[in-house]
Amino acid sequence: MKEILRVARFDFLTAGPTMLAAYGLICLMALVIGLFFSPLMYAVMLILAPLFVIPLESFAERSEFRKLYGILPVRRKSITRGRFLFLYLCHFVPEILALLLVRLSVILQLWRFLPAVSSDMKSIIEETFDPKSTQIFTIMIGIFTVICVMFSYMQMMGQIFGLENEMKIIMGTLTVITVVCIAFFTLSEHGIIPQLQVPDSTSLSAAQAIRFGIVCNLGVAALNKIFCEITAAKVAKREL
Amino acid sequence: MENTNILEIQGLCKKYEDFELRDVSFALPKGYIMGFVGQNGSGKTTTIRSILNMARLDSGKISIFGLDSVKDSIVIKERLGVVFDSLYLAEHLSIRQIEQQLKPFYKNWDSKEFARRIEEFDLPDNKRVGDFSKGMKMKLMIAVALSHGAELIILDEPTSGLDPVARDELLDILGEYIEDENRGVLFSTHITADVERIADYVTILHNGKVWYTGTKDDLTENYAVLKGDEKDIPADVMPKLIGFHAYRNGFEALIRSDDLAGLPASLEYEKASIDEILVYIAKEDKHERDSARRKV
Repeated sequence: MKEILRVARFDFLTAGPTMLAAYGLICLMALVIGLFFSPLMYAVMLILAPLFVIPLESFAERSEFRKLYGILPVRRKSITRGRFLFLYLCHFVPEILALLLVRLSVILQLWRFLPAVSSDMKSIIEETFDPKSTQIFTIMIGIFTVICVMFSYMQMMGQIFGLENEMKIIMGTLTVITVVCIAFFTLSEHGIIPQLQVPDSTSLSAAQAIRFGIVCNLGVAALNKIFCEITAAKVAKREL
Repeated sequence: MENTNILEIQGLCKKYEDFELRDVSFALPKGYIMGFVGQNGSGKTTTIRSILNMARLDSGKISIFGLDSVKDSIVIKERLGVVFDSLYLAEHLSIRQIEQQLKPFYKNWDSKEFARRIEEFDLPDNKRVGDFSKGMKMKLMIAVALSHGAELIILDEPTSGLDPVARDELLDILGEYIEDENRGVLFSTHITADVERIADYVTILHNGKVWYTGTKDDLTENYAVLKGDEKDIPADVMPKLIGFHAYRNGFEALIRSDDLAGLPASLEYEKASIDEILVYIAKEDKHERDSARRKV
């Protein structure tokens, strides 16, 4: 485990110095807007989390990390596992941070101190700061789930099939998703399969929302682990 | 009995589509520098990648510090320093940031030693390492290798593209490093002048096979360049000539010193340099028997 953590730290120190300042600035802006106008703004922190993951491959290629991986006293599988752990943490940490900030914003209700806000505007803002609403919480979890799964999947495909095939992977994946969705909706329209009942996120109780959050996080962690092990098994067989 | 070889390769075979390493065997004793030479594409880098477990062995065995290069790869790499022909560290980071990255991987990492080497090599800490000159990048890789107490340093073409001053500095560093007799250096290059200067042992790789392995002195003493008139070559000596090349005014070829006895006095010979040996091996391979007749 220590080896994996070392690799995750290595990846953070590779991408961190160039991305941390920009990401920090965006978080600060999100914090100001989130505290006074809408906690939904913290979603930016989740949407931009991949900033730490995206440049890793190009840094690795430009700096010939292939050679470094060959001389570091670390197992090949640990390098892949460390990368997936880093990727997961890059999304998980902003998710937790964003959820805490949502809670803080709702508790502080700082929007009340905003000067000269129209009543229409006021009611919209008030709604987003509603302490009983679980909508923003579930939206945050949803964004985390989609983005983290998407980037874990892309990491797996990129490492297995090569970055040069990234565009083909994206197009192929989108085509499969589109075909599956069209097939699913067509079949459910004709009553061949039961229609999917999507729960209304506005009507979820706090307990239901927390359950939803736990299930999503565990699901994402499990998927990340599966993608990671598939990648590690494939990549470890290759020569450096 | 204690194994005195810091690196030992036995019967290494590795096949690629267009290239093959065939039965590569050599050993580097502790306390010595081995020059690993050969033409481009002779298999030097593939051998080094095999030593580092970056390439899988088809057959054969590699022992480093008496340990198996595959099974004990992690333990070995703790004690191994590697310098490649190009930088393998994050080009957008500074020296301090690179140290933060690498330090946790090595149990014996010595930050004071790293700082001392960086100062000694005059490397700036406020610059991205990607902006360093080739010589500075090479020194940085050496500093990394020396800061975790590497007992064996493997260098793959470190002097190619370096100016003479930087090359000289590198050779001095290696000379100083090897003063500790428990260490070793494997130094792959096609600049044979560097090998002539610092190597104690030489391994010549040719077309994926070991052509010579042994001490540098034995190599240069065992081969000579023979010159003269082609007509004076005794018939039984002709097949023993390596890289025979006829010119308008005579011929030149490499010959083993043992075969010099009994040659007519009209044939001249002189000790062969490593460079000359490599050239004649290549000529032998191309069967360049007669350039005078080819050039019309």
